[in-house]
Amino acid sequence: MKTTHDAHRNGCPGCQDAAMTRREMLKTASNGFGMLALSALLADKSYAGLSGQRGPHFPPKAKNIIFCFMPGGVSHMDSFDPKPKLAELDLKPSGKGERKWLKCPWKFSNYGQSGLPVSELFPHIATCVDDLAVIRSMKSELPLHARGNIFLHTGRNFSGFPSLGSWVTYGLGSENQNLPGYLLLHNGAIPPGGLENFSNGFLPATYQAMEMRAEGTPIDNLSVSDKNQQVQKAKLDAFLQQDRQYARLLGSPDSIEAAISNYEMAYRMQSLVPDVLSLDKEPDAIKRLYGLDASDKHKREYGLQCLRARRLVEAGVRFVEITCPSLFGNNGTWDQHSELKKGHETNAMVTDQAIAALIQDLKARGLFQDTLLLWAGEFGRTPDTSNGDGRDHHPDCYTIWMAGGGIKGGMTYGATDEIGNEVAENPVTIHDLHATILHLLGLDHEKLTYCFGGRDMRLTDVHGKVLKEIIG
Amino acid sequence: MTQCCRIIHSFLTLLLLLCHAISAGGAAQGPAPKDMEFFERRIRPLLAQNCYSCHGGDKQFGSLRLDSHARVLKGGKSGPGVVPGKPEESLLIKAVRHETLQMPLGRNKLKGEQIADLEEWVRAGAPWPQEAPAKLSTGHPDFYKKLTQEHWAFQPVRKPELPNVSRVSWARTPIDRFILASLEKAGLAPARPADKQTLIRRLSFVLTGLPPTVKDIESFVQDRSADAYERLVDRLMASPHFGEQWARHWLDLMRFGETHGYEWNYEIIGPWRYRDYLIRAFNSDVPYDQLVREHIAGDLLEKPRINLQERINESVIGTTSFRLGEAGHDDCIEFRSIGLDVVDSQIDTVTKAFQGLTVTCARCHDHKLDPIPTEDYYALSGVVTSARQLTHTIDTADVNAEYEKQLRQLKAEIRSQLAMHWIKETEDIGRYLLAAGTVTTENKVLDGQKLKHWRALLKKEKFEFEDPFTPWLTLAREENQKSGGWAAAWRELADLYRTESQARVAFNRYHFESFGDFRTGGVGGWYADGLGLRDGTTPSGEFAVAAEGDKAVSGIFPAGIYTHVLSEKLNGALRSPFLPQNKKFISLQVMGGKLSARRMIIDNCYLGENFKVLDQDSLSWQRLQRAPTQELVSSLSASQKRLPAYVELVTKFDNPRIPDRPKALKDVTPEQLESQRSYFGVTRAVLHNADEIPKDELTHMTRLFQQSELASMAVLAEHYMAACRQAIRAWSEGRSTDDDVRWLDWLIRNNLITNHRDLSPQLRELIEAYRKIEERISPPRIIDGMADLGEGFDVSVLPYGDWKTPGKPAPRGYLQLLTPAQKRLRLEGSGRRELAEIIASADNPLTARVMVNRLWHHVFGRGLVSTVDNFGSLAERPSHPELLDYLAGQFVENRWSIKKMIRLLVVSQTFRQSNQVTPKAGEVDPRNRLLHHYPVRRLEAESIRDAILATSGVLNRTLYGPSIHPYREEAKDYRKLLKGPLDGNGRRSIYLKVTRMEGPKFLELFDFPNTMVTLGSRDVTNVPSQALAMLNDPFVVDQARVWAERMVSRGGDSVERQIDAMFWTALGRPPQTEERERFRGLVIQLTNLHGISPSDALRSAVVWKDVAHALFNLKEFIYFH
Repeated sequence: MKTTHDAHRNGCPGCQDAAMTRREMLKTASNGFGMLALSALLADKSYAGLSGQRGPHFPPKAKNIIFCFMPGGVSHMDSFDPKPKLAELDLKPSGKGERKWLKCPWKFSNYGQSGLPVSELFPHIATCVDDLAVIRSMKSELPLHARGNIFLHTGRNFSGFPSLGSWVTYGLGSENQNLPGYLLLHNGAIPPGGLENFSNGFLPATYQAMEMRAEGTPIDNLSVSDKNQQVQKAKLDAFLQQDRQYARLLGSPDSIEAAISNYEMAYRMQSLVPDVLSLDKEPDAIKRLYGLDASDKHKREYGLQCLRARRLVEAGVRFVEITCPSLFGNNGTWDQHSELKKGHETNAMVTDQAIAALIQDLKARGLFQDTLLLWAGEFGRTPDTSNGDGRDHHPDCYTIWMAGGGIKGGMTYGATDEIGNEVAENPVTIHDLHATILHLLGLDHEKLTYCFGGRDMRLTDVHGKVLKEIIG
Repeated sequence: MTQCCRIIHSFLTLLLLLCHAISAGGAAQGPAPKDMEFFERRIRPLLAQNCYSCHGGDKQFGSLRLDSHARVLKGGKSGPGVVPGKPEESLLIKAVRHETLQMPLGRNKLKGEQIADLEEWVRAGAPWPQEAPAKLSTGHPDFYKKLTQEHWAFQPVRKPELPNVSRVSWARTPIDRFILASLEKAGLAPARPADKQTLIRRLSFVLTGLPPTVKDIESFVQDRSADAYERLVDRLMASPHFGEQWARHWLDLMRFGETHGYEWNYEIIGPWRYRDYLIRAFNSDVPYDQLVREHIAGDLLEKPRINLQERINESVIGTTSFRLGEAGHDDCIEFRSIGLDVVDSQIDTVTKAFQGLTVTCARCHDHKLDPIPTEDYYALSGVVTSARQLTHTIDTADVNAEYEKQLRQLKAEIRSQLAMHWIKETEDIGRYLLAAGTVTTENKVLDGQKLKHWRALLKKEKFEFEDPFTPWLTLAREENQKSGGWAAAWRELADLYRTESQARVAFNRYHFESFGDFRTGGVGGWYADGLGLRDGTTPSGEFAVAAEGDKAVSGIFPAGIYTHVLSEKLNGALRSPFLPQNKKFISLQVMGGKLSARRMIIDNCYLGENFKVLDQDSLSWQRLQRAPTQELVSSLSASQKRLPAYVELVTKFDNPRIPDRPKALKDVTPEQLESQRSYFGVTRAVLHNADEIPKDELTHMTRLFQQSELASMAVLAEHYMAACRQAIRAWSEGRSTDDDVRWLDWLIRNNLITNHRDLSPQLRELIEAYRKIEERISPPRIIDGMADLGEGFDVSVLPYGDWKTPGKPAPRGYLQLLTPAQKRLRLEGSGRRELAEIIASADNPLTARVMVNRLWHHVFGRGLVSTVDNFGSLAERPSHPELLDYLAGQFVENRWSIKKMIRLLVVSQTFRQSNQVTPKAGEVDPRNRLLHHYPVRRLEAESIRDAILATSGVLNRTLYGPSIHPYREEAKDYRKLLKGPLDGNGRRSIYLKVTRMEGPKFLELFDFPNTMVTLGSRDVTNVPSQALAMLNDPFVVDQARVWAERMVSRGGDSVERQIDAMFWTALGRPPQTEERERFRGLVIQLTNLHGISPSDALRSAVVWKDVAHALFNLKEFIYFH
């Protein structure tokens, strides 16, 4: 698709040459790097007509992924990793300056057959514990939102690298030729780190997240600017005829032909995407399940995005990410340095029901085993407090969970010490998480590479190991 | 981007190794070719993919390395890795069979056939090719030497002979000779020349980024003179839009953004001034070597380039280029890597942009492919780190000079007026004092209001020892308690003050070490910048005239440095030398207000949180800690404790944290934020370890206690009067001391003398005159830049890029590869000045080559070296190496003139070719590396938007100025993403604000760069969202409407002519008959669809809006050829 190709700017040996034509590319792309570059090309929608889908490296456990991103840092010892010891130590000095230990303000109960403990913050997700693999030994690096978010998404602490969703769509393409592969569902809040979190980095622009808002027009430029659709069709007919003539005049360069075919796809997207997003055919019971009848606007919007996520993966979108609304300050939803109780309760109220609904709904439709669900933030929160009212950033250990495609349910993996301060067993790095996700999707994280800046780049850089233990 | 190059991916290494292996195939003692092939195809990849992450160049678990023959044989802690010929005895084999160890650790067991391969290899004696390739990853001196001597780009630029060609007549310029020679060698012929309409469109977009006007096209097409084309070139190159186009290319390289991104998206200071600087520079053809010098060391040039019209120092603006990257607000001392990432981005930008080298690969290890050892990276890092990242005021000395002169004259007159009145007022001090004490007696002679002020003083509860009134209050109480105890009380008090004064002097002497005394002489090793600090130290008694309100003066100051003695509109920044390591605190005696601030800057983290806004209109001591928190200090590593730190005082707009994030500004009104006014003053700085701050030494009290005996309160009242009069008299004569100022200040603050502009009509007139002139003072022009303040220092090599384990310091310097022996950096200052010279040198083999290749890239759509940012060993070889050298030579010969070089390229016959490809050329050279035609090119994002504006007639050709926020429906103030107008006020795209968090969306759709890394060659992607934008984006749709309304209001006489006119405007050519018919058909169809009567078609803006919209959507509109 690209007439000059980013990847080759710095000339990786073995990579295809920059201005190679499509025909040449197809001719030479029979092995190794050629194949990879070809896949990049084929994953591009405007070549969709030419290609089948690019295959995974081995049979996948999951086809799609929905990432419920919890920015700001959910407190692990207040959600999925109970620490009764903290109640004993409550308000005693923690030994770090003036700081004191802080007990969990919520009660934990055991749920399901597995008996996994969940705090009363998440009554709905609690009913799904037998489907969750709860990882209690996640580790990040820096206690900083922007860097943590970018690290979680790209495996790097600095900007400029492709996001997990971009890598996945680069690796697998979209199942639906008429929809983008990576969608970001949000309600207007940009988490720290900005859109860099969802950027294609050095991968072709095709792999960047397309934003879909909860309010107003979901996608930029998708609604037809002409009131009368026939007017658009008339214009389209006229200029596409003109374009074809122009292409012929210039000897049919690939770039012009590709641009023409993009118009054809764009034209189809205008009606297809609203179709996918339309809830007209969803029964009321389903809408209620997701909380679309809630009195709280944010809860309704979050529910809408979760329901959309289901519809999108159903339609073959590869990677859907949902961010949380920003209700308390702007450093990420869950960033409760103070008013922990109020903040976490509100955020849980907004997200809990819809996420549980998503699990139930995916199951009811037989999509659950094909869809990987990831619930994760950039770090956890400290077991101690500086003000008695909140917790601070804690990258040394925290909890995330996964469910669905390929995941062994009703289990915990890894553990923290008795106060939730350090990993006690089986540390899991962000790279391990990425390697595992790619593995579940049928991609070998060491083979999923892209040539940039003189080197084959990987999502996991030189790290990462697949967590076999959580795979069913 | 390359920070992460911890290892070269095994596959990449493998490929290189294969090349080496194959080329070294005939080596005499080497293994048989068959064995070698087996090794390279089956064994080395297997080892590389499965073993090297733990047993390779970077990690050696169990002290085992498997990347060389010797190391494999030697083995690690568990013994030899391989016993040649004996698989059963070889640890490696046992490990992969999971017999002893289970290798590879944490991964799948190797496949059966892989284990079998390894066994076979060991059985065959573990043959291994000669070791040279393994040195690839070691930065071995011989390997580097070989590369340095052999790689084409590191060799001096040669002066090639013009090649012989058979079609001599085709070649207009030497460039054409080189191109034609290659074509002829390949048996190809160049394309026929492009027609004139194609040429002018191509040339306009390439040179100015804008489409040609219809008038320009017509006059060019009609111009039959022989040099019509050359004159067109000259006309376009003289257009100010030339500078805009080429500045925009350059901005990509400098990763231009106008905010810092990250979490709060702080504003960079004056980045648009840097953009304007570039536009001016390209338009006035500043030589490239000069631009290089200015970018790297523009603040250090002996003769900076002064812009007489703008009255600014141009050269210093070049250093803004260092500052355009991403930056976080977190503290470097705690999060050390943040500062290192900023430096890395700076090194990456400089070395890629000017030298085409991927130097930052060497941040973690010796560069594996180019001769750049890690020491070189840290040598360069020392240069960058030694320079400070701070603001410069770029105004020349004459800005405001005339106003300032007038203000000074007026101040002298204001001072005498005030002094005259105040002397008179102090005649009565004794009487007021006595009267104030006796509550019952109302004295009709005295002013009631003033008496109230005195009484207020008497009621003061708080007795501060240094308050001039304290002795009076003390005695007044004594008197009340025991009558007649006068003499004793007075003597006691005098003693008390004397001993206390001595004790305080001793205390201060013991605990504090002076680190800056601004009361006499200059700034003593500190660095002052800004319009308000041009005069340096001001003497005791200097004052500020109140700029508004009823007051006459806003303050009278002790000797020191003050930014506002003429106007609060003048800015200032005062920076300390680096703080010594051995002191915990620095304290400053400061005053300041209106969002001025004091800041501690550690390791150049200029957005750090540890700063405090100054909000006090009198001097007081403020203590700053070297590290932000006590808790942190104890946990810091030795290297963190050594991080360079300095303090600065800044007025509002010199503070990179202004405007701060909303939460921090919640008590600040928008008016306060936007106001031009801000100020600070400072007298002294001291270093100390004690927690206390310096004590007031009480010298101003001496004048009260000159007589050892005191007869009565009336006598004391006399003393007070004398003290005050002494102060005022000294002030009026311009010989006041700080003690005098202390008394004056006391009088004014307590309203004991009248500080009112209406004190006399003359005074009022003077102050009005002062204020009028002050209003005319132009605000400072400030930019973020670099500066060398004091000595530079070396930084430690960080093996594996890990700041926690610093290695040996690397002496500051440039890449050894490009540093001639006689040009080692002198270690004075940071070394940037010398660095600039090495890069800007005609002898540097890369500088000219890289730049002419960039120009070629923009003119022809692809460089002679297609990897424009990489000329290292991974670079694509130049398609025309001799031509590249010829151009580089010409460039230097023409005194680095960019304009001359571009002209050379565009007047060539090569450039003037059409885009037609012959079947043979398509076959032989499908990628057009030999340039047998001019390629079809899509417009860059900015040109698409600009062309729409030009076509609709909205284009506003104004140059320069602050950026305009791109169109945004909803503002996100907390991230500084503000609303902007739909059409950007018609300004060219280069003037749209590039916020790092969310760039101009319309431009980003068409591959506008992401601003995180330097970028010499943009992507040209082709995605459906581009089509969606052209179809539905409100900007495009609205521009179609504007264009249509313009066309309709002109009242064309037929649909056909209207179509013709619109084709001309949009595409620079008339429609062919078929096309005219097609669009006439469209008009009829639209007329129907909109329900408009056919007779009204010509006047229907609705119909023509759709026609305009269709024309915008033509591929021909966004491509040129």
